[in-house]
Amino acid sequence: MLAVTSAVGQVMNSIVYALSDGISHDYYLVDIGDFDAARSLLPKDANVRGVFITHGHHDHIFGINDLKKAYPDCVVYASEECARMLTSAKLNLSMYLEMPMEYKGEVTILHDGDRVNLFDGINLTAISTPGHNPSCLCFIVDDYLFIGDSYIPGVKVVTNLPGGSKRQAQESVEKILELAEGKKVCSGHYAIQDQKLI
Amino acid sequence: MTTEEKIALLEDMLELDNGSLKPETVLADIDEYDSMVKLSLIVLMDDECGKKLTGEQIREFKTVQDILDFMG
Repeated sequence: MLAVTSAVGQVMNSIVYALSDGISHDYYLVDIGDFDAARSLLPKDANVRGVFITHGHHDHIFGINDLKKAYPDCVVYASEECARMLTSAKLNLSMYLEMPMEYKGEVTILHDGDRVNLFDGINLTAISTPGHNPSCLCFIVDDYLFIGDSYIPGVKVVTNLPGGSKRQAQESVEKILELAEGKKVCSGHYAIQDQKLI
Repeated sequence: MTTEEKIALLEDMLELDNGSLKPETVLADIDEYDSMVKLSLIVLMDDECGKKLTGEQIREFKTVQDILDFMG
């Protein structure tokens, strides 16, 4: 059975989620804005097998180099656009906040509808949800839906950063609301919420 | 860039209707002027004006005119 824990990071209070099956030592992360926040969720003998990035803004990727240093075999999963943003402090906006960071390692590209097996009988499905940023992906895992900043319940989607699109955001929000039916919704800046709170 | 063009850029960034902003508009009175918009402003100044804007400078901005002055 999938177990999900979360911690709020120091970089713009973005959230890191840790996914486990409660049996093995294997873990997957959703976003890595702050490696210390991620570490607080992991036991010492954890094997972090992968990190799924919801989008390429600095506050969701800032801890990626520390993560790869600690877990060199951890696979980085992201959209093609996000992969580009990871390599550029200008594109991922960290340059503008005087905390430039770039990640030059390998990335496994996810497209809309791609599936990744995480644990025995538990798969992740990537859903493309541009609007906040072209790099945005949501992830469905079991009865959880990870939505990053594509939609934050009760908050207007931010579309005035580079690459943002109000029209696409509206379309993505409609898609997310459908997907959220019966799911626990995990956004990029708030704790796990029950779908009915949306 | 004319004052009108600069104001139009700011209105676009804030997703406000044309004519919403005046030079004397107080930034604290704009609901949309939140921390995320301040990041957008830093990007805008870099991309459109080639100027580096710091968090400290943003805190000193009180009115739209202050931003227009910074844009040069």
